[in-house]
Amino acid sequence: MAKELLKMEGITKIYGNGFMANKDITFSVNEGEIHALIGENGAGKTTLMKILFGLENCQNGKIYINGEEVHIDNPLDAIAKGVGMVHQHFMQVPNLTVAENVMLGSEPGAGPLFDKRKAVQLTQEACDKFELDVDPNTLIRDLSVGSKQKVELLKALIRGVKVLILDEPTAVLTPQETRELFVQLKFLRDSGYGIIFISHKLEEVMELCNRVTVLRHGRVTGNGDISDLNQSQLSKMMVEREVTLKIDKDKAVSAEPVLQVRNLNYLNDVGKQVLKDLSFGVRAGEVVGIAGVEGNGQTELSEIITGLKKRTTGEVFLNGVETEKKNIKEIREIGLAHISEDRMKYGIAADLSIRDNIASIYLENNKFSRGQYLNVKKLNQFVDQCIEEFEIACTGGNEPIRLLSGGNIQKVIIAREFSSNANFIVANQPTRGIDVGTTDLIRKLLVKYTREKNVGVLLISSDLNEIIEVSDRLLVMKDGEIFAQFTDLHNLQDEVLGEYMLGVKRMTPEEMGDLQ
Amino acid sequence: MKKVQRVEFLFEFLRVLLGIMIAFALCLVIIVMVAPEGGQMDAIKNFAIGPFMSERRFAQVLSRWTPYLLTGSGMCFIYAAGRFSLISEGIINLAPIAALFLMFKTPLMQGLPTVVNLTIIVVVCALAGGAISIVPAFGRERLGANEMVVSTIMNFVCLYVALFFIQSSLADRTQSFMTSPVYPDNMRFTRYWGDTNFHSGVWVAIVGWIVACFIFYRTRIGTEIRLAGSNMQFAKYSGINTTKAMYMGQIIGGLFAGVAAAVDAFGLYNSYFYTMLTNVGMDGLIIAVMARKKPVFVPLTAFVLAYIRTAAATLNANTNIPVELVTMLQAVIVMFVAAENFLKKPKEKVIFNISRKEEESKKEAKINA
Repeated sequence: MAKELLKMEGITKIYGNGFMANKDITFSVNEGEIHALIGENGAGKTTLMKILFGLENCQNGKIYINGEEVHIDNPLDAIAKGVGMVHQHFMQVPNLTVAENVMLGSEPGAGPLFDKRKAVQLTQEACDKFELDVDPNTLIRDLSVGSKQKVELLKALIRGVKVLILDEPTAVLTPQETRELFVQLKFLRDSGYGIIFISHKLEEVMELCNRVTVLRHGRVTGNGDISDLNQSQLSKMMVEREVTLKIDKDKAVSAEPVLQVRNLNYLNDVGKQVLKDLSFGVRAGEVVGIAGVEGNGQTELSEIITGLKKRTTGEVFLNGVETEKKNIKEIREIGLAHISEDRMKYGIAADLSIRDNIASIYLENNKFSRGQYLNVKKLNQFVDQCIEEFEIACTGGNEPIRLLSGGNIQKVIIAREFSSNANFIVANQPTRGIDVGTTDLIRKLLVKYTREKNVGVLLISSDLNEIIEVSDRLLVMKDGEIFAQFTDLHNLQDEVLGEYMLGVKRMTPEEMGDLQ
Repeated sequence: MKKVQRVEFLFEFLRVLLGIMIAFALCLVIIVMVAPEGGQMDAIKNFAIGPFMSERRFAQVLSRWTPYLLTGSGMCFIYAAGRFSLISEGIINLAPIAALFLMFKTPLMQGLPTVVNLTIIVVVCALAGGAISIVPAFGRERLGANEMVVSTIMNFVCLYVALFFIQSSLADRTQSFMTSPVYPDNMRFTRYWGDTNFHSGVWVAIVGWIVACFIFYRTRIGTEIRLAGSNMQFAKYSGINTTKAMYMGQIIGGLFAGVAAAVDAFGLYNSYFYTMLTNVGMDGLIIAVMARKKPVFVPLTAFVLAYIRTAAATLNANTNIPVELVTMLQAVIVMFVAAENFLKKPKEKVIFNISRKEEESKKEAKINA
């Protein structure tokens, strides 16, 4: 029996707004094992790990390290007690070298001096010891994502942690980098480290891990040895019910184009070409899905179409109007509605009421106002109607929106955007981290609007189920280019799609056919 | 979720109330310590209920309340826009100069009825205030200069520019101190209750407050300012012209400060003789902070501050305790009101219990079903 490195017992966490993220969770990691923590978005995985790493405190529960009860107040404390974390978003200083980043916070040298040579030497030793291949003297900003992750690992390991938390480490990696990471993790496992691997990719879990704990809605719904389980058992534990929900829809009738994108290029701040000569279109009455591993230009594409970012070169026509010189208000007037992937940043003003949040896009046109005067009575009626129609669980239009759950916040956004009479909707990750009921509602609405109101929808999603189910036409994006187009989605298999998403295969322009 | 909202409101209110009470209690302790032997009771009485003890003193409270209502309301806009321009302070000194020029250097206002003259004064001062407030707003929105630094420095610029105009052209040379000539009777607010400090400017202030509430909640620009101040990115995404909203938030604040300057300069005094900053503008910030940037609560918080200031002045007049005591009191209040983490633990405990109960009742419902 392997030694138990870490145990979390009866962890309960309630956020300040009353949301219960973890309910009585018990979880342990042994020496020399990789323990998978899996669950859907919003199941409470990240919260649990934040508690372990001292980023959040919990109301109930105990943490034991090597059998001793400990209190972890902050990340420094966690590291001192032997718990390290590799975040989804790397915490690094781009303009410093690898060695400087690794040593940050525990710089070698006498007094206030920084001994750079010693730092490089220490880093190199660690690289050799843990078989992580990075050059200590390169700048972070010149590294690939995979190498950055190695630096992140180094940072934790050099501080002598025994338990490593990896929060969805493969989400940003290429397949090769993922394979390399797995080799490294297995090496660490065999050297006696305890690794917590957070993911929602089951294949990876099956391949890499020894044990697994499944969370759903903040509770543990299953755990055990990987060797005793198979993928379908795991997915049953993860998902509430067997939902591969089918949406009934008739075939889309192709009509006039709503959105036309031609030769779109975008260079980001550091000069990386994120979008390469992209051309495609969306027609009225159809849902065009964009699939792809996150970080292949989807975010930039939606931000350029919606006017949040300025393109480098290329043409974007919305309802036949070039949008380059238009501001967001004008683009919205031409017929855009936008469901942003980051709903707390772009979708709402958290401190204000539901009413103010719904009114936001109607302030610049005169739907509820005459001159400066805002017809609050009319607006309130509209808000009440939205609350009723979209079944938003709240006490009324005056309630601050931050008190609502994620699903209800998204419903407010959907209500606002869908009632704006736009004929083109950009829906970027519309159901991420949202409960099953609301997800179902949003997907059905997207289809309904295209069929009944002749709206064109551009759906960007990393949920394959959703994108295959909802779209009429599916484009696959990789490295800012379109690698494939599928028009017959009923017979599309996940594996085939996966190969294009990972860039293993690429269609020729003839195979793809007409992208407009 | 309804319960959570109520709990949040309750604790918000409790925090402000507790802040005021603790500050008050602290003051009483200090008064007892420094008051002369045997005079403690008298001192406490003066401080606690002094402002209510005579009509003259209560008039003093109301006369302070009048400009506070305006600067407090104006500050709500600046604060709601997420900007911290303190320019109101300088406006109080500089804006009346424009009206003074009209009053003494042009024949325009002579012989006109009081009401018309007062309207002219209020409008001119408001416009001057709005114009002055554009400077820090431009610095921030166009040049990226921190509006708090610019406005704080500009307050002194305003003070000395105002003094320059008084000295160079407006001063009454027959007086032994630096002052403008005495305002003609048809160019000032009427004093009430005999010859107390309470004056007809209070009506301007009340109307101003109502207008502020209206703009804040019932107009497009008010909503845009609140949205942009709360989440700039979201406002942009919604198609709101955020630059305009930011400018407007700060300019509306300046307009209200200008009106406050008018009622204070032409109501409280017989001639213009400010030689230093008055603090009326800065107090506007404290009032807005106490009101949690909601103009609806401004009359209440403005009254609290006016009361405290008068109490301190009363105390100063009757005992040897200095008026500066009130600065400390203010500091304590602001500290508690601004301290969002104060009472956070008990609040979260209450919310925690509510959630747990809901969770349990859900479980029971499941079992019963």
